Amino acid sequence: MRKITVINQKGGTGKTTTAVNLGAALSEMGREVLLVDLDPQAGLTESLGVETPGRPTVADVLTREAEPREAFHALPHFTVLPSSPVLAETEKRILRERPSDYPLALKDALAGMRGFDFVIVDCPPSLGALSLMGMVYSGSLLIPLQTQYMALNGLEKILGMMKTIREAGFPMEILGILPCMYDVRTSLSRQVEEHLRETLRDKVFRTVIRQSVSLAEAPARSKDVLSYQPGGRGAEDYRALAQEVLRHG
Amino acid sequence: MGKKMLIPEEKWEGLRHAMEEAAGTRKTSKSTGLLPPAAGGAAARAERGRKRGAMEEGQKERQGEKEKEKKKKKEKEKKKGRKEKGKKKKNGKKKKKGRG
Repeated sequence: MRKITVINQKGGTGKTTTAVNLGAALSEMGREVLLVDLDPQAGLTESLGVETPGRPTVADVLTREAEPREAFHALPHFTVLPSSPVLAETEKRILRERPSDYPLALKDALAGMRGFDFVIVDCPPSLGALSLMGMVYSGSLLIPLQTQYMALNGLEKILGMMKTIREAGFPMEILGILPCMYDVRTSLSRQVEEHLRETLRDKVFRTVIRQSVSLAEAPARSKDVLSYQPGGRGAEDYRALAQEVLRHG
Repeated sequence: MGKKMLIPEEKWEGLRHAMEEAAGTRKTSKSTGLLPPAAGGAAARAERGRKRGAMEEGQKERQGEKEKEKKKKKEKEKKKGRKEKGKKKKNGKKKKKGRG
């Protein structure tokens, strides 16, 4: 079972879009995929139209008040472990109850889980406790990055966090940095991509996620982009990413 | 004419260093303060705890000795102070006598 954590503390970089559509593309290639929404804003949960009231969510799984399978929500292409705003309170509770080992909360909660080829964790836009749990769970990071100057500052912070976690004794690797919202018309996008590859070499995915209206429209229909517009460039880009991830092993 | 650089070269150099540190290929001083208060992972916390414990065990005796020395010094200073004060009084009296 391959675990991937999609992380970037900056909001609007394409984390949820990447988690959902990479999951959909891997599913299209015959893989069993679980998507874990670890964001109290529940963007992934909502974008797929998963209803949570009265049902267990990832918050209950983290506190061991529900088994993962009880909280799973099966969709045609993948399974979702949904989130809800309650998760913000749960985060504080876990910090109080397990101050010394809270980074292991998700790892412990999902230990022994079987039946999936890929588990993709969508982190909140912060480097707080929940993100830390997500990072420690998989030890493998996929970092969506807008091809803009400010995004580079954010990337430096994630790398710093990664160093700290590694020093604390947890294995940590970068699966890849994914240039997102790439606008072929601007020289800034081209230059950032070019320099990223020059600087970080094989840590940058060959695939680039181009700006696409379909990627923004699909969540409004509670769909992934491969279902919403199978022939569009959004779907095309995420298929290419999925192939790269599969090649990575 | 050369290509206009939209992002300064230092930025890329910084990223390169950050990546090397994150990957563990560059040795640097240990990072501090990046994780949230309770963070640092179980291992880091354990390490911190160990350090604290080690200090207590190793330094208890030394600290005790230091405290004893400090007390002795204070007592000596007090004694000296008393003596000096006494002398001053005597001197003062003598001076008064001289004046009168």
